[in-house]
Amino acid sequence: MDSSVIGKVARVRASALVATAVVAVAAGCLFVAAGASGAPAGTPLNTLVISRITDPQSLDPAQEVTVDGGLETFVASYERLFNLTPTGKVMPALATSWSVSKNGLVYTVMLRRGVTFHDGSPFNAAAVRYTWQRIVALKSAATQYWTDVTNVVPVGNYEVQFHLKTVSPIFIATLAGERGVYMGPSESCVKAHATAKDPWAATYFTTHECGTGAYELTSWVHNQQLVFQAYPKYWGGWKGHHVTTIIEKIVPSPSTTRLMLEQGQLDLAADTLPTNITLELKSESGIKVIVSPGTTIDQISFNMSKPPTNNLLVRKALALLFNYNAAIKLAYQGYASRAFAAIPSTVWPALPMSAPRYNTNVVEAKKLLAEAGYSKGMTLEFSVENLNQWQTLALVLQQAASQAGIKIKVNFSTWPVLFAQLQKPKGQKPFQLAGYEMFAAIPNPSDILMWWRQSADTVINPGWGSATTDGWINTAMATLSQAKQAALYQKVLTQLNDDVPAIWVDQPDNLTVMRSNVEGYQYVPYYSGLVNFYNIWKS
Amino acid sequence: MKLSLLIARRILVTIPVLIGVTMLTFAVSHAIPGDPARAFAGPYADQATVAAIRREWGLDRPLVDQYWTYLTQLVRGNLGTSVETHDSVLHDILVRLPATLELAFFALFLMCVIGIALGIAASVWRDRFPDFLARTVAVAGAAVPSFWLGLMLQLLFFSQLKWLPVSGRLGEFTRPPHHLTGFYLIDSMLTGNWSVFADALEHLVLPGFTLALLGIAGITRMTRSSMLEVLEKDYIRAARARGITESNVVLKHALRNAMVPTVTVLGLLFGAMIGGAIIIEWVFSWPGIGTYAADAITNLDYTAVMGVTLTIAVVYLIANLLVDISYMVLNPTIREA
Repeated sequence: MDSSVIGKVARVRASALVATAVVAVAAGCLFVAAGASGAPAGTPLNTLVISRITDPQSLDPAQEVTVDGGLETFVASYERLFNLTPTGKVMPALATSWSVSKNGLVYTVMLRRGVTFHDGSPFNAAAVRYTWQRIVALKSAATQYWTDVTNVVPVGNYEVQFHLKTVSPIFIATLAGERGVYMGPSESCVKAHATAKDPWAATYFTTHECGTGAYELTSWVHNQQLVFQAYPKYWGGWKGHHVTTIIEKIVPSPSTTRLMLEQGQLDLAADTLPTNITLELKSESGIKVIVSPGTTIDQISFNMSKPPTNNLLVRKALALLFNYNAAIKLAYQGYASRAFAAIPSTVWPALPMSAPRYNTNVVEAKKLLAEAGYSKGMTLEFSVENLNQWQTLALVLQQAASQAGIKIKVNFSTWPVLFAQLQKPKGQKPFQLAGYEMFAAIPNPSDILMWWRQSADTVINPGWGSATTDGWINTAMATLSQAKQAALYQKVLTQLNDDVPAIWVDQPDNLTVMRSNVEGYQYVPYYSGLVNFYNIWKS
Repeated sequence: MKLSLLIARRILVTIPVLIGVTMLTFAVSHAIPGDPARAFAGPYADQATVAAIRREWGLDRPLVDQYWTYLTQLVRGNLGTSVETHDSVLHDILVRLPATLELAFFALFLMCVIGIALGIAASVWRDRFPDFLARTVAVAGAAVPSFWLGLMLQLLFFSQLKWLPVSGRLGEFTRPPHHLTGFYLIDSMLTGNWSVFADALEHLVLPGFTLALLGIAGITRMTRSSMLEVLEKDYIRAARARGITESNVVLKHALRNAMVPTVTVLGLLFGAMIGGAIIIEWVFSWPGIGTYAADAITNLDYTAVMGVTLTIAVVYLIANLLVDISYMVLNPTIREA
């Protein structure tokens, strides 16, 4: 045979081999895909599948108090003594009622009967005391919510007294708050998993639970998903509409979350999605978005120990230069309201009507800058966390300031880096402006205004305050009368408004995305990011 | 020189490299502003608690002391405690590494099969359609950002065709196989759990292909150019003259000799894939060390960052060691040299 023919035949054979290899891989993938269960039509009616951006760090309510660290997950299994309604009213939960002694130092709380922990042991006054003892002994994150408590004394099986060292008007609200006040794990659970080195079983309860809540943790594959099943002996019972299984999937990418919601593989995105994705989803069939007012404020603080922001005229000028409408429109597509004070409008009291409001006024701002000796402009350093909304707010600030010849140099960083900058002592903070959020976790102004004290061990206060303002805040925090508290806090708000230690930009709404058949979802602003799983069902 | 001696020599050379990596990561991690003790304690902890943690972790001591402590702990297998997970970094990495390795090995498999096959086809049909196709794949693979490709594949195969899943290693209703190696494909195969095997394979396809594409481009180009060079050699002409079939000439005589540079690229790509998996893992919710590293960087969890960096360096060094060994196997003249 001719050698060129032989060559041709051989090349065909070689090509066949190569083609076979490529086809084999492609066929393998297609074979898998053909039998794939990849995108089922939807999740079962008795199962709620939600997404979270990150894996929980700990499921121990004594050790974890941050929403993205585990709090949002263990609320399926642990409960508080009291709950809050969306309007901030305290409602019974594991407790049924409460009363306070005349001197305001002893709170007596009546407990619900027939409640059991997931190991079957009873929830009673001794369990409340044990929870407190464990939190105090662990000296972990939850301890800060119990600093006013000197003792927890059972009075019979279902009555317990909390002894306080000072009068605290927020004690019951704190017990109803979102952090550090969950009952459990039970004593028998802890003792079953305690070791000589770890007598409170802190390590075990990082990855396990033993609460009284409606759902029990049945599996946790780290960074993939957690599965909870209905606790048959739950005190609330299982009549009516509920789901029996909750699957919490860890989906870091918002675009993947969006696809999964669209395809019905997710029922609810529990963490806030970027506004543009949320609004695009809003117009799609089979998906709904629940809009609720939040209790967070976007705040741009001035460093009051560093020139030129130590100058009141400069601070006022910047507050007048800022374009608030553009900020709300661009950063939140309109889903936010103006903030006019250091506390959100969902928390009392309001800034007095007599106090001036800072709206955009470039002419007035330029006049103030000229008066302050900065008519030729200046350069300011702005430290901010690298988040979507803050990127936009920084652009709005840059544009607004440029109208008066002010150059804003923006330094984006992660939260720990920004936190380290904020933490530096007065005079050493490496910025003139810093952007971050303030959040009220209980319906009381002290939750935010306590951070404006000079004496507070805080990173939030940029150098504002005096002995007088500290006195107002401290007195209000020790006064039971809400009217007296409101009067004092109004004085603080007015003084803050006069001194302009910050630009209070906006109060973003909370937008929660879910499939249209998810029912019973109710947003409670004081539990930001937390879902009341027990009330949710699917139609 | 004996192969074992060569391997021993190569392993010894890696030790100073590893020490260099520890010095570099330690210095960089400590140069970043931030207080790990505060991060561990949380923003609401008082100064006394933060100070106690700082003392416990030795953060109040000079940097040289801290580095020495770090090294001595490292030798004992202690990579420190993660600020974020509050768990041992070594444990965190060991839990997550199998997921990343499984993804990387699957991508490596795709890279080898598709890349080498396309490279051979391109060299055999130089300047014809298969060559054109291979070069297009190579250019596209190098040019397309992996996060974009990942999103496009998700849109096509999940959203439109509804063929493949986009998130995680298994479906939400599938229980992971009994833990033997941490590789779901292997564990499910060893335990005969074929439904889990199929589910795990389905979940691997999209992230695996996305991770592999850049490598496919590199392997295709390298194989093509090496094959073209080798196919021009005298011994190939001699083989053809002896009447050896063309498929044997191409696959046995030419390919083996053309594989040396390809194997080098494979080794480097494998190491790079472990580090480069971060964005793929993020897009596909893949629970590996990429996601862990991204979280650690965002939260300034410097012990975790150092642990992950060290792990990637070790994987890189092992991959290079294996490359060196394969050189010696593929081409004995290197061993003799």
